[in-house]
Amino acid sequence: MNAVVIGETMRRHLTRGGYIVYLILVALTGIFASTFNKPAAMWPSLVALLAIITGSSLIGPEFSSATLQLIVSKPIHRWTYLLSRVAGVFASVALAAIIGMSAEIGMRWLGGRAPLVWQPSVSTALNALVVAFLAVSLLALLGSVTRSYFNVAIYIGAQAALSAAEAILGVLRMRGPVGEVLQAHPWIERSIIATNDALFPSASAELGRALVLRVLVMATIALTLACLAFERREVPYGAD
Amino acid sequence: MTGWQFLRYMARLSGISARDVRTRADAMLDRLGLTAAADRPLGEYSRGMLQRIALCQALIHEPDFLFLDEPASGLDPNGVLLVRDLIAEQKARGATVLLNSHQLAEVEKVCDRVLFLHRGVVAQAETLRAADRRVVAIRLLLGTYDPANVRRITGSDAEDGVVKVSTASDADIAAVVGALVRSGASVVEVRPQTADLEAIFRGVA
Repeated sequence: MNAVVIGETMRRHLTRGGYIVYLILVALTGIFASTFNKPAAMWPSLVALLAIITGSSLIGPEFSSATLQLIVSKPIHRWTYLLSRVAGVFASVALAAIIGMSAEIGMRWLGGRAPLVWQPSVSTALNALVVAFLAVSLLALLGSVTRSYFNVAIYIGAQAALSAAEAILGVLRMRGPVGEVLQAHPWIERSIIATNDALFPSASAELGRALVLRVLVMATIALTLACLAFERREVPYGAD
Repeated sequence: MTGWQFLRYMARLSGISARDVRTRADAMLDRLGLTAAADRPLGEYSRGMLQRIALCQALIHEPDFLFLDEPASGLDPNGVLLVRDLIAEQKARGATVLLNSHQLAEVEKVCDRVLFLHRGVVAQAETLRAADRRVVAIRLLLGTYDPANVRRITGSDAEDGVVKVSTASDADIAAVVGALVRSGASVVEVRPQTADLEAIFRGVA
């Protein structure tokens, strides 16, 4: 890890108007969620969405600018640079989770309109962070093999395709010859559901040990592949 | 990201301590004439300014080895002169500078040695240091002479007393001058001519 890259990545976010507005939105959502009986509503999804937004510009767009060719000429390993960028982006997402959680717990404590249940809030915040870490790792992998914002297009496309496939198979299972095939081979549907859960877990659940382990394994694989791809990739000369 | 922020980031990545960044960055920005534009976003920089800030980040940590790829590209004449001075300064402080350029005149002004690459292979290596340069011809200024003898000895006609002779060695020069003197010509001046890069390039291409 390189503290300069992490610091610069966070600085870029903290000085961007859009990011500040998003943090305010997360805080307001946390305040609004404090009026619900169910703890940690809505804002964890905003945290997961922020992970996708910030992760989209993690490395892919840098291939399209002339900046990356200068950075790779510096005495820093490419994999160190990539992992430091991931850490910086993740820290920016973590800040949003802390703000959302603090806003909700603080308002529950101050307002007293709903019970102060901090444990589920913290647990859900941690779950959102774990999910965000996986999203950032996957976007780092996709960014290291694509250019510009193709990484986020592939990420969202894959998520939508897997969800659609899950829904379509659920309908088809009930009818006709296709349904018979699906019932005879239940692994088809199970594998799609398992892939969807593994790559795109829900951000709103409470933290579970199985989820943490699964995410850590997936994120480690994604980051390892991302580092290997980034190490081998030719950095284009000049901007697009 | 402003020019100053970019330079600070690159300087820190190059290993310059946070304490020294301000001093060095300010000095480099001043040297490259970018002080007034330091707080402007890079997106507003012209091509020449981007080239200058790229040079700033390359030089700020005083590297031992510099690889400059068309450093004068996009620069105005003042910028070209500045780049030439900067390269000379780097040479003077003992850095090795590898300059990649298609501008033969610029290369000739700043480089000690030059390699011509053709299809990725070194086609010709030349030294450009004055003392080591290869003499490819001599220019003779003659006082009195017999045109027929001059044509016989040098293979060329003298024009207004000046004749140019292609030659490969010091022995050839001595032989030509000796033959002219013996033929009764008075040789006023012998000026060796070295190969310029354009001539060498024509030979390589």
